[in-house]
Amino acid sequence: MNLLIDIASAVLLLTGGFFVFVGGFGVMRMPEFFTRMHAASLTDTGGAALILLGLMLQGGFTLVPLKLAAIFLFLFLTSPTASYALANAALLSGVRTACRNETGSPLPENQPHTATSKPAAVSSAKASAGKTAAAKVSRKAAPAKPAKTVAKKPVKTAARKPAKKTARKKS
Amino acid sequence: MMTIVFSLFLLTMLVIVAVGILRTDNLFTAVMLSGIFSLIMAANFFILDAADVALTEAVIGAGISTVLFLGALALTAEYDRSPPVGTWVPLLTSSVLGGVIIFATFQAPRLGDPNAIVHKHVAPWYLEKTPELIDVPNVVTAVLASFRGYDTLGEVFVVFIACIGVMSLLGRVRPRRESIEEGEFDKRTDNLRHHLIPRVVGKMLVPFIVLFGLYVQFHGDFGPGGGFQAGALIAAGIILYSLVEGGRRGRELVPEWFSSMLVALGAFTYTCVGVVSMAMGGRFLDYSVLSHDPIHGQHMGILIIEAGVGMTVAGVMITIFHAFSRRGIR
Repeated sequence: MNLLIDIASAVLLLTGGFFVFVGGFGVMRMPEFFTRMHAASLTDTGGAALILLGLMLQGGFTLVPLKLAAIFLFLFLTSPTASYALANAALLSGVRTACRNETGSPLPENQPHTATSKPAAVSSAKASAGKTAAAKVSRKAAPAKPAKTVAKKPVKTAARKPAKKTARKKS
Repeated sequence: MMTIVFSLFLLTMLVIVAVGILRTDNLFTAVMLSGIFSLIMAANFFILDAADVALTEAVIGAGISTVLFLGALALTAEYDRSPPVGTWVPLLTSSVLGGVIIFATFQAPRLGDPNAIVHKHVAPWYLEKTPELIDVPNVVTAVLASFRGYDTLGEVFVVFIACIGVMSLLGRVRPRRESIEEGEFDKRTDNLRHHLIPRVVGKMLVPFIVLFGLYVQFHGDFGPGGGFQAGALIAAGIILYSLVEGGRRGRELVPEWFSSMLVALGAFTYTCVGVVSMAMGGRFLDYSVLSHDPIHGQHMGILIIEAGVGMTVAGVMITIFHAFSRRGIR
């Protein structure tokens, strides 16, 4: 029985380690921000969960597995939230995916969202004034995006709220 | 063996992160890296069996100071300006100092050496006498709260005075314009209210963080923890609430008069324990006279002064955070 538990926990630990390794490898090798984040999320979810499970098996019938379970619960809640916040912040500050444009060449990384201004203007500003100018452009450009999302959101909540109220009345 | 491997790994990471902090000119990146630096440092402290210090470093270094730095960044610029003086003088100074420190480490005793001077001085006496005189399992708490009660009182007052200093810099005066009340930082933090997921998850975590803080506070006699760590943890919970709900809601939850009163009340409680023990016939901060038998008196004294420490620390953190969050952008 002990041997079985040891083997099971070893398998879980090794698989978890594999996930962590793949996550790290992906962060190094993936082409741009969002795919890198996808790779990093493997470490948070698959890697951490499997390693914690493996450690729980090693803990036996003590308080240790419960503590590990609490850690697992917190990771389970917080790491997707952190990933969401990170991706959202990246999207709002103008990080683009590596999707290809019409000419077939991949978009440059870290180019701010410029819905109104042309890419050529951005690159000239970059060349002339360096980093700070680019940062300013991204700051100026950023409010354009939140305005959209904010405009969208009230519609959603308005649609949801009556549904909630009726559900409460029913119950 | 495993410990050495871990320590080497962590120390290498520490150096890499430190170089990263020096090399970046984006202050936001520097703040994030300094948070990582503190987290690695906390892991390092934990490997060195200093769980109390590790807890403090993780909460304050990686948690609260990152938030306070971000608050400061919201008031200033995001990019570093090149220093006005040349790089030669600072480089020379820091290399000489670094050389001296490295030279000094050759003279230092090896890690964990039982014959080191620190292990020969008063430490054996503390370890020997703690079960007899104070009878708490965590010797660190016994040393901090009872044997070295004067030092800790001094620390609490240092924190108290530091809070006064920071508040006199950041200003507690009522803003003249109404628009400052809805300052840029507040708007930025209020923006988080539109993001449902961080808001819900953040609010869900707050009670557990505060509960853990209370556990650390009152379990400090038995395990790692005590007033400093607990105060920082509780403050972290309330700061998290303020971050996800906006500064104004945070100030409604813990009003500024309350948090600043907490700062003074904690230090006052600590001093009162000393005065009461004098009034009951002992010396200043001699807890043995507080109750019918000395050990029970020690327990009571440690509990009360740890509560005082916790109040002061939590109050200082919350007060400084509120001071940042209510201050508008220039």
